[in-house]
Amino acid sequence: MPDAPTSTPAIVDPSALQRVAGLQLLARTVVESFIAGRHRSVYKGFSVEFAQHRQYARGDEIRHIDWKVYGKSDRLFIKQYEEETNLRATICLDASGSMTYAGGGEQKFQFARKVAAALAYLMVGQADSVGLVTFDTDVRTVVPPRSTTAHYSNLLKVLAATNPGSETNLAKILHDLSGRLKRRGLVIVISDLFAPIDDLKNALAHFHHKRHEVILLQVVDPYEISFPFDNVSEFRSLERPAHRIKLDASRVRKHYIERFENFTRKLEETCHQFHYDHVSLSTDKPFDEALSRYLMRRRK
Amino acid sequence: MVFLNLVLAGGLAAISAPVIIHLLHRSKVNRYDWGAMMFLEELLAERARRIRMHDLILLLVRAAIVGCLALAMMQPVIKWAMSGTRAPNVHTSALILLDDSFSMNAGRPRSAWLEAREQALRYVDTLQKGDDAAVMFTSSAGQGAPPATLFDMDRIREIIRTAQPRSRAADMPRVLGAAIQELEGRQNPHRELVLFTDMQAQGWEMSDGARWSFLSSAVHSSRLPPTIVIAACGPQRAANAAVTAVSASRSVIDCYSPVTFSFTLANGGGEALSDIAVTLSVDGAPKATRNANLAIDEKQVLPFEVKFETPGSHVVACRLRCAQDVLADDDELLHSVTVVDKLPVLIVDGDKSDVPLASESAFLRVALSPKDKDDPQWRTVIEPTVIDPSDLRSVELSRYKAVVLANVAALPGAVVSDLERYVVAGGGLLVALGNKVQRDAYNRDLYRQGGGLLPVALERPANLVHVDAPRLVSTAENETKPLELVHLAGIVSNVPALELFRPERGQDWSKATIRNYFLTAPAVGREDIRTVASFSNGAPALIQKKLGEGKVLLLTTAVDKDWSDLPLHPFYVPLMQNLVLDIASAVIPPRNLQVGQVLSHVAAGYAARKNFLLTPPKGETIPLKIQSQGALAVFSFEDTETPGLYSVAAEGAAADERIYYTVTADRSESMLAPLKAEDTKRLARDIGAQVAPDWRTLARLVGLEGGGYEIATSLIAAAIALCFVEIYLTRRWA
Repeated sequence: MPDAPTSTPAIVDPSALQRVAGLQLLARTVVESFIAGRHRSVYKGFSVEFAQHRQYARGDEIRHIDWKVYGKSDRLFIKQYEEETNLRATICLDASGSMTYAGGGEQKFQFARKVAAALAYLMVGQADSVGLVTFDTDVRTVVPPRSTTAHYSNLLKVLAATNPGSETNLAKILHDLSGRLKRRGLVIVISDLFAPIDDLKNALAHFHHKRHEVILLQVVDPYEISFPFDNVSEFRSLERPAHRIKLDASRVRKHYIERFENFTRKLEETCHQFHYDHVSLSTDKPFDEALSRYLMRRRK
Repeated sequence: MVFLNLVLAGGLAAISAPVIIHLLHRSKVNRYDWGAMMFLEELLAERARRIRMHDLILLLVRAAIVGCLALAMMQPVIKWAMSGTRAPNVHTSALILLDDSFSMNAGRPRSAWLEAREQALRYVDTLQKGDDAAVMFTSSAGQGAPPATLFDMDRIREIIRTAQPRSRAADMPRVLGAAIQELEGRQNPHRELVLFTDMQAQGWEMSDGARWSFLSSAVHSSRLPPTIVIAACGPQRAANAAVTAVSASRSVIDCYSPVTFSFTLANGGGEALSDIAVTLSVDGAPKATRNANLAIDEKQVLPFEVKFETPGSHVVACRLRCAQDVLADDDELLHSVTVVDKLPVLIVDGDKSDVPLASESAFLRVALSPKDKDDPQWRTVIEPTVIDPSDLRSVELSRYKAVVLANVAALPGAVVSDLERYVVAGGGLLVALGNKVQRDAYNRDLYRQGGGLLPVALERPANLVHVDAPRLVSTAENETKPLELVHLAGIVSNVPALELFRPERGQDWSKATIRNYFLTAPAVGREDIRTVASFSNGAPALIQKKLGEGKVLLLTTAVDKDWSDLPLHPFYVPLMQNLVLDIASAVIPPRNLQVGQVLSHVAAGYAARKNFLLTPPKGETIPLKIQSQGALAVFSFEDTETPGLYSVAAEGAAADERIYYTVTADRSESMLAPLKAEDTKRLARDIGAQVAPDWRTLARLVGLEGGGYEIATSLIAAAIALCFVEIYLTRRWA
């Protein structure tokens, strides 16, 4: 387990990391394993544990030919072994303007950044490779997955240097991202996920097509859930400041909550359809508790 | 719909108050930065239209509340066309327009004026509490301060009772226009304009379509067109003979030869008149009497010859007596006559010679003051004085009634200025040309681009020759074709001085041959300049220009025999005398005035230091106001409303030093013919005026015309109702 970098106290609360540190992230069996012996890779290699035979082809090393089979069947087969590999995870952090909202709790982006740092800490500590992608209008930063301690420090620096503020088209970004990630792995999306559900569904379908495992960590402010405003209020978009909507908040609260819950329900249905995990993280609650609950659930 | 209190139209601006409140309310909303806009956008798309509609409805309701209140304050009135009595609870603004023109005195034993006054008083009795009224008179309508609008009907009655006819003519289109404008500013929704008049056609100007169409548009564009009733008063068919005009046979009257005064008699009534006794008197003494008969609309001129015995101011009066006459005020016409003893004329000779009759002015001087060998005492009024041009600078021009420039080469600038001042002040100037005249100097100093004394610019001498005879004069160098000699031919304009030379009067001036004259540039578009006589080839011979109070006459040929044989013909004497008398005849200031004209008297020298007294036709002697103008003293009297004989004299002056002025009422008022039926129809069509020949009709017309309904109360009720609607909608949509 690597030591937490001392240069980024603002991002990762050491006590919170302490709470998270006892947990291990367990991915599904179909995903690349993230701790040797516990996670089985879907990729076949030439390790110690036999997986299957395949017909010899030009270029294969002769030392991997199974001569016993040749003796029995007079055909050349190559012995393939199951490789034990660490998890290859990519954390996708939404740095759009909507993430700057801070109503009933901490700012969503600050919260999301802490979650990202905590997850990276855990994974690097387990010798897993962790990459980072930040995005708003477009993909802003891409840090390829690695598992070194120095890499973790680099991730934290990138996280610290990232400031949210611009507009985003989440569905399109996820679409692009699914194309960029060449190797299958775990994709952790940390975002408020405020995008049209159909577009989002299409983007997630792309990940599913590429056989990525996706975890959607939805960061929401409690005000975004309860909409506790009264009287006539003007709401200015954090992504497009010129875009303003004025309405009687008390009159629309009920309808807002209906729409929010409807969106959340559809999102969960989508995740269920693709066997993805969806975790809602409220910024008024300690992020480590929610993370712990999730990791406990995944361990089962 | 019209508004009685349009001033408060600015109150409508209060409609903007809800909008402003709305905007202020907008500024007080809570503002939040928000991330989950997509949910609000969905909500908005669904609800925005409905919310906007609600807001708009509420805004309109609130604006309507304010608008109703603002309109109510403006006292709107909805007019109705239905007939009925003066609408209940609708007050009337009445304008009583009394025709106080000269003709309203017509009628025996009761004049049209008395009847009009009586009807006006009865009309006032029909007005109710809350109604307002004003009295206007045709003589003063539209002039000076507007009449007072009164709610006190006793005061209105007093104004009517104390009014008297004036001696002025009525100009009905102007008067009605002023009355309608006056009513426009009234407050009550129902307006009545009642004109009490004798229906005399004179003054209505019914033939002036432009004025009536203007009046018609004024009535129809009025916010509340008034009910217009014309109450016909006085006799419908009256007989009236009048002395309407006088003219003298000579412009300058002296005491050496008789003068004929021609008085015009007119029948201005609707009956033929017979046995009209016409008496002429001079200075109050009857001189002659004649009888005349006048058919309907006939005019007759009666000449009376008078020879004055003494110079000075005299009065001739023509008075008629007719039994059927209903209007006495126009039966006499007074005329002030200034009889002169001598008329000093200054002749400036530009071509003097010691040879008899060779000087430029020799013939002219003889013509202006001829001698009678048989009667050495005989003389004319003109006293010519001949000087050289060089002496002109030292001469006091004001001593002369006329100045003649005879072939003067040029004049110094200072002399030209003196001459201009002299003419402007009423002097006469005859400019006769000749071979000495320096064209350029004349054009530069005397013509001055049309602003000087000379009526037109000089071009060059014509230099005519007889086609079939040896040349009498040499042609100019640039002349290529000889021109035929001309003679005096036509009288272009009507000038009293040339009346004698019309073909029918026997003086044949075409026998004179003109060999040379100055060609002149035409004077286009100048009303003060006219050609009064021309040569046989059409070229101007005599051109007249009015300048200030005086006249300038340009004779384009010479007054001696160098350029023509004019002096050799007998008509030369009367022609020159008449021309000089014409330019010297101005009596300044005028002594025969119309009613309202300012009476002025000018005194100079020692007399200017005296006090002058005015004796009006009626009443006490009045000291005249003095206004000094240099060495002159101008005395003036403005209140000449009373026609008749006025006299002015210095304090302590003898009776024969008295100067008489006459003030005459407009004699067009003597024509009593009433409006025709088609005229009254046109009045009804153009301005909606209806004629009431009697009181009963007047009462019916006034009472049966519609009015309007004030809707201020209804608007307030509507505003209250809208308040409830607003409260209900606000609660429901909240």
